[in-house]
Amino acid sequence: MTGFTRRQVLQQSALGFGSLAVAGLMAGPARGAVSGPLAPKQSHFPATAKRVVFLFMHGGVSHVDSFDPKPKLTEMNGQPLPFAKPKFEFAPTGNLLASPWKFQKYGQSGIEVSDLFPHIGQCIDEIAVIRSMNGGDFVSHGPALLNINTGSGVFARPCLGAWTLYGLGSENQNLPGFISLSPSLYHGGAQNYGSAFLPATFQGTRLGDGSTHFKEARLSSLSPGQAPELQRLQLDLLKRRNERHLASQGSDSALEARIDSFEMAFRMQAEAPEVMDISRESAATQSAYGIGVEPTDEFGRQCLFARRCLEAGVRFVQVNFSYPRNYWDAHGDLRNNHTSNAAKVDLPIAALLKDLKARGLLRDTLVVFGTEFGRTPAAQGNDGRDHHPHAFSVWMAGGGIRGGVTYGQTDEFGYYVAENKVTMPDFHATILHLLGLDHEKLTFRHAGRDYRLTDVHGHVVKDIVA
Amino acid sequence: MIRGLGILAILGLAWPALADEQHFESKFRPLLIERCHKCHAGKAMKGGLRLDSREALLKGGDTGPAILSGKPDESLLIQAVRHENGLEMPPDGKLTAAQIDALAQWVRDGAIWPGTTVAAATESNPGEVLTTPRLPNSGPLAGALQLWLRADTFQMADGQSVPVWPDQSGRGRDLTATKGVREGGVGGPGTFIRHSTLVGRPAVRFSSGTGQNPGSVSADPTGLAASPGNPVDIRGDAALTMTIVMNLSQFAGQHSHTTVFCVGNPAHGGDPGKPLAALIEIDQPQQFSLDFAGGWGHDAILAPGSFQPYFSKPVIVTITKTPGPIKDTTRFYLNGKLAGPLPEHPVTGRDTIPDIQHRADVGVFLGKALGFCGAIQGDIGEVLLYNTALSDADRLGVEMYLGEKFGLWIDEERTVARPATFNDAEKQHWAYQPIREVPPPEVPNEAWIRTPLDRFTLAAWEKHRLAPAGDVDQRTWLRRVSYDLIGLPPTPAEVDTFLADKSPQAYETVVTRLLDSPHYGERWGRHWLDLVRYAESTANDANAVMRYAWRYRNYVIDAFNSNLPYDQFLIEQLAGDLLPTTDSVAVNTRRTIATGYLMIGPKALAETDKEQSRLDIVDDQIDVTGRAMLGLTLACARCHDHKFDAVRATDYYALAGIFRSTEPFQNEARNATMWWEFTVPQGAGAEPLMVMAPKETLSRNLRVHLRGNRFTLGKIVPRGGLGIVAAVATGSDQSPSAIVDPHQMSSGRLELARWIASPKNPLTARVLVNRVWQLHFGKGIVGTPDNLGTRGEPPADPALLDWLASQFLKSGWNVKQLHRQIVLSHTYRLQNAESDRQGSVAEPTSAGGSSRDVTDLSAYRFHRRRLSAEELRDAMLLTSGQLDPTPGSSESGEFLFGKAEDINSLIRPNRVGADDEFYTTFRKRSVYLPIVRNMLPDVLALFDAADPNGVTAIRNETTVASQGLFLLNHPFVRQQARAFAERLSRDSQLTPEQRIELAHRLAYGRSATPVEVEETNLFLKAFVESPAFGEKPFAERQAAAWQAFCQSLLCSNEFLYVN
Repeated sequence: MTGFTRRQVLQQSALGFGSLAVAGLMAGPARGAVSGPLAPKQSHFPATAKRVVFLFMHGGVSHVDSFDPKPKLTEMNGQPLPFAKPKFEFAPTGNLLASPWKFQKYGQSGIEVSDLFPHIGQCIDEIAVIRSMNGGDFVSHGPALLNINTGSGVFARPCLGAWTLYGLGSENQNLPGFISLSPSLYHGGAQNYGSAFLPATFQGTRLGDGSTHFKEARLSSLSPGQAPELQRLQLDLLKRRNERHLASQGSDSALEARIDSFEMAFRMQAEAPEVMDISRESAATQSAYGIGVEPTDEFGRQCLFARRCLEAGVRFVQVNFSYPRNYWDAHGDLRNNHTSNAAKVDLPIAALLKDLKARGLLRDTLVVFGTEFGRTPAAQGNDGRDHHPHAFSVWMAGGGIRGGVTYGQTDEFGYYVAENKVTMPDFHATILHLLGLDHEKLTFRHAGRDYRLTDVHGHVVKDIVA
Repeated sequence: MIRGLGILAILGLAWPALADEQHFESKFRPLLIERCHKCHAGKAMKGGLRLDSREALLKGGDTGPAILSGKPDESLLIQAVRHENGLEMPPDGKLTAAQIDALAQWVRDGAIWPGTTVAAATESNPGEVLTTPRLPNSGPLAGALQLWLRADTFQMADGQSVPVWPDQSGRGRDLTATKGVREGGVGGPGTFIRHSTLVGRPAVRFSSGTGQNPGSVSADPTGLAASPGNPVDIRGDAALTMTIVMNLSQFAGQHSHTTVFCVGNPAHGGDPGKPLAALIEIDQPQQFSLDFAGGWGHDAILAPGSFQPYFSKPVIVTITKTPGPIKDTTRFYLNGKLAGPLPEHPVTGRDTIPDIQHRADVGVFLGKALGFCGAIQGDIGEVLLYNTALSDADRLGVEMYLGEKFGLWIDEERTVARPATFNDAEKQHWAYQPIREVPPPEVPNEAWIRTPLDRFTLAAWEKHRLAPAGDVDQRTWLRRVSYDLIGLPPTPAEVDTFLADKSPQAYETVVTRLLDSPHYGERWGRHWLDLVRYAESTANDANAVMRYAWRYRNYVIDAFNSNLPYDQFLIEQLAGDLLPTTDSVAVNTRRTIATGYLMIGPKALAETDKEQSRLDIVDDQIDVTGRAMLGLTLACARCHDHKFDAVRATDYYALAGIFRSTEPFQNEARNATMWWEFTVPQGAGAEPLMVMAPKETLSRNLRVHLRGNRFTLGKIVPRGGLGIVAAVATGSDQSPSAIVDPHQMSSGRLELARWIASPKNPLTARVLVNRVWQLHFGKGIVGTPDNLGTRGEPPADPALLDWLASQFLKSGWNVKQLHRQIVLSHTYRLQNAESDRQGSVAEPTSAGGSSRDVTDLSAYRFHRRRLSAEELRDAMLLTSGQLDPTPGSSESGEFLFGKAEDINSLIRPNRVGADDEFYTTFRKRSVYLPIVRNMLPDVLALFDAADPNGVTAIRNETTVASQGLFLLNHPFVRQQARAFAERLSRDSQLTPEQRIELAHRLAYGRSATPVEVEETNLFLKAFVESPAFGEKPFAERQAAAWQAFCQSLLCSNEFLYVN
């Protein structure tokens, strides 16, 4: 091995933690010397986004009640859909149902957002709304979740975050490069943040789960088993043993990397809790995220935590609002379900956008708001909507996104995509593009074939790229 | 027309083309460009269709050729622009009538495309018409339908009497038994058979009345007739079509003329002008010819013996008679093929049929409805009668409908996929060649050879003019072979015994001990479980608990321990339920459990489209079988012919038909999908066992799913194996891959299993010996163990691979003997490849690489490896003295079941977190840990255990910080360290130095060095004196120090790696 070993680099870059340390590590002479699968890598072409925060709304946010206004639904409330419903539906639905929410125009762009999301509405000029998402025929949560997260609703494939980490590495070797906050244990579970056939190094590190309040979330094995001084003594003993062993074996990068990994673990257990400790943020910041008050406390914590991770150099943070504690699946009781869920996430998400912007991070941080499918413009029962992968809305902001635009259209009822359909591979290709990755070149050889996140599909939605 | 063009070319005639070319350039090409090319040209291939060359048009898209040269009415392109048959193109508005006419004219004129050579035109294949199944009463067929009997509408129980067979044509011609109902009637009722000889589908059984019919309720011969008051509308020289789905057998005492299906009056009565009928009749005097029309006057007797092929098997028979007198102008078609009059057998009888005479006593009838008719014996599933000669497309469409329903197929090129053809390059790929008997090479240094495979190794080293690497010492070999064979390190006593054994058999004694150990199966069974993606939950939406999956896991472990021959092992997993029942309850039970192989994969239980969900399971089964057993990536061919390997989409659907004919689910009702779990009796006094295993279901031959889409179906593919293997074996470039009778009632799994587990299969034995080699050395002879195709790596030493495979076959697929060959070899004693760089030439590239002429010596070296997740956990338990060595059984299944919640009748594991306490406190070997898909326990997930969502042939070996965190902080590791320390202090007589010595012997199988003793003493002292302890009592500090020391041993590289 020539040049510095990773161990030497990390020993020498005895810097503090946080964005400065990351900047130092990245900008200084150490750059490029960090080796191993998680070392930062060159993108295919200059990127506009260096990191991603994916706000995932589990259960299916109704597009016609949030970001895709349909006055025709109000006009024809209670009447049948005048054309055929899709071949694949989750359950039978009835007649058209007007949105219970009013839409307002926001910002310079005047894009309409419903009263569910007034705070996000105020940020609309940073946002590109895609109103023409199509999730294929995946009408059940499980396959649909896997589809948006991994690009396949059927087969075990690496997820978006794993592909991102595989493509770009991590900017902070003392933290996981890809963290998933409160993912659901259901509907694909770990497959939604897993690495499948990519090396396990690239899988997401789960923090908490959908069944537990985020306050209770702990990183597995992060708490030291004994006092740090004692652990240091123990590690020194281990290190001496391992180095004698290494000397007897001749050089072997695997053995060296193992020695490094303990040192890294030791630093991580000291430093990760610092990043995770949102009490270090000012009261004003916490309050801006809605922390300490209901109903925003939990999602506020998740969003602020995400910002601290991004700032510390984590490449991909997925913030899940997920089943069973949080769930947009409004088969009945649409009004209560969407009102209460939106109240939990609206303010924190807007706070995250504003905070990122204030810190100059929004420029190269891609914020994605997504859900596994929309909901039927026709009613299920009196006050419900069913799963609807045939047309729905997602949005992106920051990281090279043109703000204040909408892309694509649904028909006048919101049933089908009428213009500029965006498929899941298109959605993924666009995110990778913003990260400087060509989705056709980001491949991994497995079982005799080169796999891609987008399989053999995908077009970058250039119109929303600034 | 195309043939015509070819003839023109042969005759040397010029194209009569100028006017046509002008037509093309002025009218046709602009139209195509303007209205079609946006979606159907160049890379735009909606529906797989391009419309920018003649070849592309003839080739067509997902639904078949776009044009049939000369036949506009049958061309899909023309139908689409005319908005016929549910096709509507272009989507942005119908073409004008003039434009449509222009297109039709162009097709009619031979689809001339300037610049296209005649040769190119003749190469195309206009015969590739896809016909789709057609309901018998759909569209215009409804008006012609006179009678429609179907057995699948009966709601009655199996074995019930059928006195009335209701007519479904809407014309009210229900057939009834005639005895006691009609004057002179002798026909008894039929019997409803739910799983009949018609490939297991429902049918009405016709009794011959001879007492030979099993399952018939009626002692009388069965005869069913319609009322004469409602005669069919067929008169005079009328055309007609009769279709019957049946399986009839010959029987003793069969009448000379057996009436199967009769319209009119079969009795001639000696008057040539009088009684007439249209019928399907078996004529014994004519060597069982098929008689048609006229009755006993034998007006139309098809060739002698013509009914013979239709006996004793399920068939769809359609007879079509064109209008007109029987002689000369009338034609009879049997399933679309001209059957009479044939030059060699002219139709006899009258010139005309003046009239079909409807009888006064019975109308249209089946079997022995009348006293003078011959009885039939067998099953009839469906009967159709039309008063027209159906067009060939309609006839075929109806037959395909019946074919799908009855699991039958009509052997016509238009509907059945032709056997795939393979080119020379494909057939010459190394992996498909027969396994050669290669003698091991002669080498000068005989003394170096321990087992014959060493000859290959030594020859390779000598070729590089290198002396072989040195040997490892005995301790290193013992640790290596112990981990490799049983997944556990040697105990200090085992080390001592081996070192003390000075006999020449010392190594062999160790290997015998290890192979006889029950821990052997726990190690090697786990390798197999990696391949077959073993887990105890379904993944996907529900992630439901498969409570009895563990029985399959234990089956695999037991199979390795008992050294079940590998061919039997494969056959039992694929088709254990179909093997002949033995006298041994244990064997029968084992074989049923083995088919858990087909059950343990991921399943999408909440998928709305149940058929899609089933096909995805089939895909998973094909993927696993292909990669684990055959070393091929077959699943690629689901959507298209394999891009790199000689695997066609038809091969895929030949296999898919077999797997689709086996049912994992009890019922497929929405939200209540539950797989098969049932009890297997264990003999008198013994508790029956609950097992999870699939059941045979209706067998079927699938149609190719174009682009993997189940809504765009191509031709039928008879069930079977891989065409390329048959093609290479027979030397043919076009070879049937059928290994299954496509009409057999069983799924074909047993035939497939036997084909895979055959010594003649060139893949199976090679795949296995390569895997065993790879798992012993860390690198296979073929570096891509589940891909022996062209995208995999070629073998580093083909002769060695074939020698191992042929020896393996000779030994009767004896896996333990293969282990012996390998681990007792000199090659296996060589120092690991990382210890020196000698002989490590460039790694072979993954693609191609056939030009490589140097032998890659690294294939003959042991590679240093990290302990697998299971080995790590087991070794910690063993070292700490905490391992419970007894085999696991139902603990995992019962634990998961106990944690399950019940939602919508699906049993889901709720909150079985990766850090559940169970995983920390369980003391048995890791192979018995509960395996929940998408939620593996930390110890497994962090250390690269196989992800049970897919096939794992080579485990990753990652090194990440979270592993360090686990080893430093996880309660499991800390508990083992504490137990390890307590074990050291159990003998209070030991001095600290003796304890340190014992710790090293337990953890590393060797003594501590003086440096280590001194270093440890210093560490213990410094640790105990650390101010971090505050006021803690000395004894507590002392215990913590020893625990920390023990933990450092468990985390050390010497513990974690095998040399």
